Amino acid sequence: MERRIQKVLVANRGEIAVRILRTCRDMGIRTVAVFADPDRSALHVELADEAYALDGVTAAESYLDQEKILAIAGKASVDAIHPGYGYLSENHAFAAAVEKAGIRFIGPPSKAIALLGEKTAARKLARSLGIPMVQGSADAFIKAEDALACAEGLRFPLLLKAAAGGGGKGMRIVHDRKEFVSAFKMASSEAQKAFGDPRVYVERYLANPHHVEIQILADTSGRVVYFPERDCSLQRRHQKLVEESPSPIVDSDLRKRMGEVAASLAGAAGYFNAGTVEFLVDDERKFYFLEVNTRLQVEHPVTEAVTGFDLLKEQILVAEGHPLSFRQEDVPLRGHALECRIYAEDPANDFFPSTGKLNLFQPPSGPGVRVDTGAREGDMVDVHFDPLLAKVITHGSDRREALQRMSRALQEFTVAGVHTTIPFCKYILESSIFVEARHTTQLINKGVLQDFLNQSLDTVILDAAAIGSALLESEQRVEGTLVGRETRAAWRSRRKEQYR
Amino acid sequence: MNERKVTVARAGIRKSLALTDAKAIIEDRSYEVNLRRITPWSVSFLLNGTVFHVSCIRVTRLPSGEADVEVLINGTYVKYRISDHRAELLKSMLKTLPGSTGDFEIRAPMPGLVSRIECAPGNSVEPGTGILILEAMKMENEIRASSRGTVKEIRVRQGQNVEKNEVLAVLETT
Repeated sequence: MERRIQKVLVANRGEIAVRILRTCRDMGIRTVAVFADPDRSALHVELADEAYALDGVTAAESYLDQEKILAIAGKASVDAIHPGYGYLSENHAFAAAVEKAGIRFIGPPSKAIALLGEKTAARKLARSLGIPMVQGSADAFIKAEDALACAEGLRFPLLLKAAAGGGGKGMRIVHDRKEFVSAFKMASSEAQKAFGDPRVYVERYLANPHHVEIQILADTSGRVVYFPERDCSLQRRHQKLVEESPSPIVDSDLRKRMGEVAASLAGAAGYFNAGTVEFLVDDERKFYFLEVNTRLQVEHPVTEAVTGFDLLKEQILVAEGHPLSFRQEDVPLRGHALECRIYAEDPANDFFPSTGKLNLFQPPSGPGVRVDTGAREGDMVDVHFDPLLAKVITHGSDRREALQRMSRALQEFTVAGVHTTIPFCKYILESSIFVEARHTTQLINKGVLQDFLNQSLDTVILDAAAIGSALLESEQRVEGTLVGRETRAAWRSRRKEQYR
Repeated sequence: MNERKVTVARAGIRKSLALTDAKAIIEDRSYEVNLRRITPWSVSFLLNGTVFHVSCIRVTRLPSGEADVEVLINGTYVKYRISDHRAELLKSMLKTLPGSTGDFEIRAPMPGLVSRIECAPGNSVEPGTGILILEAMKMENEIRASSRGTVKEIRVRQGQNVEKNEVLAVLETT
C-alpha cells in the first residue's frame, strides 16, 4: 500500500540531520527539526521548515528522550520519523512506539531491529542459514564462570562482546585464561552502563582482520538488493575513521558471495528498508559474519558515490510502500570513493574529544569532493554530543584518483580552535601502507601515533610553520594582554601596505 | 627596526628565529616574508615566493612564559614550543629563586622603564600576581611574583628608568 509521506520529523542532530533534511527538501517533503539547548542555533535547525525545543542539555534529556520526541511528532502532525544513526535509531521499543502512534518509522520494522540488534540472536539466525562466522559461544552470559566453561573449547586470544553492544563498548580482548574473569566483569559492567544489559558473549579473536560490510536495501514485499561493499578497516578505539568502496581486497567473486549472504540474512529476518551486514575478512580472504546494523550508517555516502543512488531517498520510498524501482543487476559500481571522518579529537591525546570554539571552519570543495557537516564557523564544540564535525567524501575514476582528491581536500580544510582528525587522516592516507592497501583494523597504534607526531618534514615547511607559529602566537597574545603591542603595530602597518 | 627574536623547539630540536620587517632568519637561512593576511587564527604569507597558509589549532601558555603553538600548515600538523627573550629571562629567574622563606628581591631582568606599578606594600601576592610593568625593547613586560608572600617594599616609581639587575621590589615570602 503506497502512501506519500508529507512531513518528516528528524530525530537527530549534526551532519546526519542536515543530510536527511536535504533529501526531504529535494522530494518536496516538509521537515521538522528538534534541538537540545546547546543546538538552538545549529545548522540543522535552520534547514528545517519547523523546529521544536527538546528543553534539555544532555543527550538523555534531549535526542534520547522518546516521550518528548513523540509528543513533538504529535503536535507537529508529522506522518514519519527518521531517526538517523545513533540515539534512538536502533531502539526497537522506540520504533514500535512510533508504529503504534500511526507514524511511519523510516527504517526497518521494530521486530527486525529487536531480532538483529540482539547479537547472539542474530548469530543464531546466521548460523541456521549456514553463514560463516567466527567461532564463539551461541549464548550470552551474565556469570563469568559460565562464560569461561563455554570458552574451554576455544583457542585464546578471545574477544568478549556485549550482547546488546556496538561502538566498541563492553568489548575486551582476553589473551589467556588468567585474565578471563576480570575482563569479563569489566566488559559486563560497561555493557550494563552503556546498554542496560550486562550479558556478554565470547568469540575467537581474529588478530589482523579487514572490516568489510555490505549495504542492503529491501522493500516491504521482501525483495532485497545489495550494494558494492565498503571497507572500514581503518579504525581507532574500535571505531571507524576512514571508509572506502569498493574494498581493495575484495574481487567481484567475493563481492557477489558476500552480497548474497547479506541479502539472505535480511530476507530471513523479515527486514525492510536500509541496513548493513558487517563481516571480518582474514588474510586468506575468508569472510565471517559479525553483526547487522539496522540503520543508515555514517559511511553510507561512499556507496552513494560509487552507485549514484541517494540512499535516503530510497529509504523514504520504501517507507512510503513503494517496491524497489531497480533490480540487483541495475546496481552499478563506478570508480572508487573514500570517506574521512573529521572528529574534534586530539590524536596526540589518544583521540580524546577536543572541545572549544570553531574559530575557523572552512570545508573544501571542488571536483569529486562532497562534505557532509552540521557545523559552522563560530559553533561551540562541547562535551555533550558526538564529536563528529564533518565527513569528507571523495570520488575518482580509481582508488588513486580518489586518494589524490582526498589529500587535496584535507589540505584545503581549515579548522581552528579545536584539534581534529584532519592532519592524522591526511598522514595515514599518504602512507605507503594505506596507499598499497596493506592495512588492517590494527593499523592505528601507539607507534603510528608517535610517527605522526614526529614526522619528518621538509626544512622549508618546518621553517614556514615556525614563522607562522611565531606570528600567530604574537597575534593572539595581543588580544587580551599587555605585551607585544609594538610588534603587532609593525606587522599591521605592513599588512595594510601589502593589501594594496 | 622592529625585530622579534624567539627560539622554537620541536621534537627536541631548537632553532633561533628572528623576524624583522619583511625578513625571517632561521638559523643560517634567510627568507623574504611577504605577509598577505593575518588574523588571530590564521596567517597567509609568501616565503621566497612559495604560498603558505598556517592556521592555529591552539596556543597553550605555560607558566614558564613559553607557549606551545599547534598549527596546521597545508594540512599537516606541526607543534612548536615558542620561547622569546622574556620567557628565557623569566625561566632563568625562576631557576635562581630561593625555595625557603624570608625576604626576596625582585630584580629587573633587563634595562627599561617602569611604566606602571600594579601593587603596593602590604599586598599579599600569589605566584603569578603582577608586580609592575617594565617597558623594554618596545615591549611591555609584566614582572610577576614567583612565590606566595607579601609585598614589603616597592623600590621604584612609575616613569623611572632602571638598570639591569636593579632591585624593583622586595617580597616577604611565606
